[in-house]
Parts: sequence; C-alpha cells; structure tokens
Amino acid sequence: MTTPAIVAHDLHFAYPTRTHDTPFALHLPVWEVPRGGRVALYGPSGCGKSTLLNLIAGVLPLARGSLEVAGRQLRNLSDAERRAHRIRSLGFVFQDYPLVDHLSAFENVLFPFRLNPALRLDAPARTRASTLLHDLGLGDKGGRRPSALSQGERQRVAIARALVTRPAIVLADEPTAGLDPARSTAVLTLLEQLCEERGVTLLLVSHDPAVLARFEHTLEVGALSSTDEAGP
Amino acid sequence: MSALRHASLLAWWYLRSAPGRTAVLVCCTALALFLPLFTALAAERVETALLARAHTSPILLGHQGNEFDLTMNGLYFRGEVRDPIAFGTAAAIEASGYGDAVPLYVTHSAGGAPVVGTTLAYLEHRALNVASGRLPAVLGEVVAGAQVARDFHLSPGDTVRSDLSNLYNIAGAYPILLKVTGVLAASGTPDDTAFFADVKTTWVLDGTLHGHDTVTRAQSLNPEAEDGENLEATAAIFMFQEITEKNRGGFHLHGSTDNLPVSSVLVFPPNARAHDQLLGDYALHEDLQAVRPVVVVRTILGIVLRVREGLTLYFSAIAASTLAFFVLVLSLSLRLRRSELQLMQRIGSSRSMVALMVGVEVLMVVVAAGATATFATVAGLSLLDAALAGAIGVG
Repeated sequence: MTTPAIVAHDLHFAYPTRTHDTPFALHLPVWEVPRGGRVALYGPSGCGKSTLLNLIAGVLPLARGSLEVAGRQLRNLSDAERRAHRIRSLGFVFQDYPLVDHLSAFENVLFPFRLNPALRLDAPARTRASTLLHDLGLGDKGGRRPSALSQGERQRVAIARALVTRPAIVLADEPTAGLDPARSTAVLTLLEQLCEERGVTLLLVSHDPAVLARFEHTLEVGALSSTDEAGP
Repeated sequence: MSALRHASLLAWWYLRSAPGRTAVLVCCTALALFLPLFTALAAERVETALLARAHTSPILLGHQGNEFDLTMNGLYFRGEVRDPIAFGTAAAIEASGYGDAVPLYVTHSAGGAPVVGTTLAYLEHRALNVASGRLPAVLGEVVAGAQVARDFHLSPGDTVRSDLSNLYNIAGAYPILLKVTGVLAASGTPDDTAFFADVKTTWVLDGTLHGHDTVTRAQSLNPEAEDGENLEATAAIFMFQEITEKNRGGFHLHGSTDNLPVSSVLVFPPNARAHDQLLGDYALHEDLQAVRPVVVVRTILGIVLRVREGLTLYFSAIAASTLAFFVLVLSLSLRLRRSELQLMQRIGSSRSMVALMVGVEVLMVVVAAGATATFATVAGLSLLDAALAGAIGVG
C-alpha cells in the first residue's frame, strides 16, 4: 500500500483577529488523498478553499492537528524547510498570479528554478520545459512574452511551470476561471492528462459545476466536519 | 553564488523589459551624483590651477588701483592695467636689493594673443624653455608660447602681425610685423597662450620706439630751420611697419627708457626678509602698490568658494529630491509588481531571494548611474581643462 499524497488529522486553523468577532476557522477531522488522485474542492466564497490550499502548501501554519504532504509532516518543518518542501514537491496554478510579465514563456516555465538554488537548472530541466510547452501546444511560442499570448495560452504556460519541477502534488486554484467553456475544457483536459501521465496528485478548486462534474472525488470545504464527507 | 546569479539575471531581465523607465532612473540618479561631484572637483581644479600660478609669483608691483586687474594682467595676461608704471622702477628695486625685478608690459596682442614685453629673466624665473628655434635677440622678434604656436600653426621663421590697438585713433601706431624666432615648450600655464618679446619691441608696438624715413628739409614743416635745429616731420612721412635688418638701426625714441611704460614689475625676493621689506616699503607708497598674488587670488577664490558652497547646497537638494524620486519609483514599481513578488513567495521563494533580486536591480541602476556620472565628470573636467587653458592658460 502506497503512502497517501495528503493525510490530515484533526486539522485546525483560525485566522488571528483583533476583534471579539468569531474568527474564521477551518476544521478537518480526517482527510486523505491518495497518490495520483484527483480531487476537486468546492464551496461558497470565503468557506476556506484557498486557506486549505495554503495550509497544504505550507504558506499558513497549522494551529492544531497534523498534516502530512508528500511524505513530510508539515508541523515538524521550519519556515525555510516548508519553503524548500513547497518548491520541490508542489506545483501551483493560480488564477490571480498567472505569469511574470517581463519574462518569456520559456523563462516563466523555468521560473521556480531561478527562485531556489536547490533546484538545479540543468540541461534536463530545460529539455523538460521545452517538452512541456510542446505538449501544451506552445512549442513555437516559448520566446513570447505573456502579453503576446492569449489567456488560455498563459494558463497553459502556468501549467507547464507547475509541472516542470516534477512535483508530487499540483494545487490549482480556479485555473479556468477566466476562460470560456471551450478553452476551459481544453486547459483542464491537458492538466488532467499531464498529471495522470506523470502520476501527479491534482487538487483543484473550482466553482464551476462543469469542472466539478469531471472529478470523481470532490470535497465541499464549507462542510468540513465529518470524515464521511471529507475524502474520496 | 547561484542565488546571486539567478537574482542578477532576473533583475537584468526586469530592467531590460522597460528600457525607457530604466534609462530615466539611471539618468536622474547619474545627474544627482554628477552635479555635486563635478562642482566639487571643478572648483578644486580651478583653485589649484589659479593658486599654483600665484605661488610662483611672489610680489607684483604696479600702480595704485585695482589689485585684481593688476594680478589678472601680470599673472594671466588678461585685461589691462589702467595706469602703467615706469620701466625704471624695476632697476630701482633691483638696486635696493629686493631681488630680481622683471618688467611686464601686457597691453598689446597679435592675433588676439597677448604680446608680453619683458626680459629674458622672466623666462628663466618661469623655467620656460625653447622647444624649437631660439629666443628673441633683437628688436621685432618674439617667441611664441606652445598653445599659441599650435593655434596659429607657427614655427620659427614665421611672422605675425600685431593687432591694431585702436582702430579710431588716427595718431596711434600701425600694426608691426613681428618675427617668430622660436616656440616655447608647453608649461601648462598662461605662458603657453602668449607671445614674449623684449620690452623694447612692445614699445615699438606703442609707437614710442619707432622708425621712419629720414626727414629732409624739403619735406619738413620748418624748411627754414637753421643748421643744427630739429626739422619737424609731417604726418605724410612713412613710418616703418616692419623691423628689418636694414631699418632696425633707425628705430629710436624721444626720451629715456626709464620713463617708458610697463604694466607691472614681478619681483622675486631672494629671502623672506627682502620680501617683507619690499611689502613694507610700498605699503604706504603714494603711486605704487606691491601686492601678493597669492592673497589676491585667494580673495577671488573666496568668492568662488562661496558660490561653490551655494551650488553644493543646491545640488544636494537636487540629489535628495532625486533620491526621494528614486525611492518613490521603486516603491510604486514594487506595488505594481506585487503579484509577481507574491507569486515568488507562493511557489517557494524566500523573502531574502526577493530582497536580493530587488537589491540587485537597485544596485544595477546605481552602478550604471555611477558609471555615467563618472564618465560625465571626467568628460566635464577635460572640457574644463580646455576652457581653463583657453581662458587663463592654466589646466
């Protein structure tokens, strides 16, 4: 039996508040995502979907409980170790932070290597970036700046960037939110296909019922209170 | 090292992505660095150049009046002194044991360059050597300073005509053709910008020492004059406008050389005692004044320094406002790039890496601005040297 990609036990998180209002809190009793699995997170705005992604990414610290991601128990890691773990083991596709404007598409794909010297930017890494761009239909557009690409193309570059470090898990926060249905389907198909080929676990946040319908396993974040609903 | 390399690349790509904005930042920063730097260095260079000349000119004796005019005329051959003094003053000073007294008569020019009437002692005291040709030996000969020879393409054997001192003075002297016998080696002083002649030659330019055709009884205004009585020449008589082997002996003056004019006398006292005595002797003189050029130049520089202080303050304000502008542009730029910087942190970059990248960007702009400012300063100082050489012959 393989180790799950994500294991959460009695996970608690609350944003600190200076008022006496009830703070936003997230509680996840038990939750497991198997390696290579595909899970869609959904729920109303403000329910904590992005917070959960940030907890998994190690951006936010846990208040209580345990969270194991890609074989590492996050509670035991320092900030620097969490950052290193994040850049080595996780890939991100964001709606809000698409690409770096002044870098070419190719350099955007290689961006994670520039940010952490622990990742070696060698010939195989460059080949991987080229292959990913080619597989995503952008083989001839690697030299273009994001401003010269369509929105769908920009999101495909973001997918390539998420996968170029060969992560164990890809976290995608509404990756198709700005796209029309046809482009949304195309981008999502490519993302799923590439994750499946590479055995990468995919955690995706979406509001779109059409997107959620493609996923066998879903998690309603706003109702995180019982093990029955939390997990595939 | 690898982090620095990646940060440098990212910084370079960012700066290159907006060349206009980067150029404006570099130019503004360079200007803020250049202005105070250049002002300070230029003022220092002017001070050094002016004081160096003054230090080698212990005492200047001239007529009572404006000591600045006297100094500018005697040291830098600029302007004129209003009242000349008698040539005999130099001999009187030497006779009193105050040291070598070198007459300077700076009132004529040739091609716009001053023709300095003096003695060979001047060239010795200034350590001026002949680079080609020889020193003037007879009336009508001049030696050219290095700069003036270069400007007028003069070499030994060439001639140069003196300038007409006053076009509207019909009683004035005619321009005289002067023979260049030699060219002085460059000294980096005002001496490079002048012609030097024996003081008698400059009196020829005055017309005081002159030559003309022999006055015959028939041409004279008083043909009935008795034998032995002077004949009075008419204005139609031909005045020599060139001093040749043939007519040189005919040049003469009416009176004593001791009373002929010189602008000033440069005195080189042999010791401090002679120096102080000379100053003391002339401190209360009715007609003459003895000035210390160092003091006069320092007074002039005092004004320059005050201007420099004002300029430094002004340019410091510009530098401060530019720095504020730079910080503003940087902070606005960081705000515009917030999504990029957040992205960096979200996907695993440390804050130190973000700070390193931004720091390298700032460093690149500052280094480029520093290089630009240095280049501009060096170029500006070269232009200043040329301007100083042209204006007062120093630099």
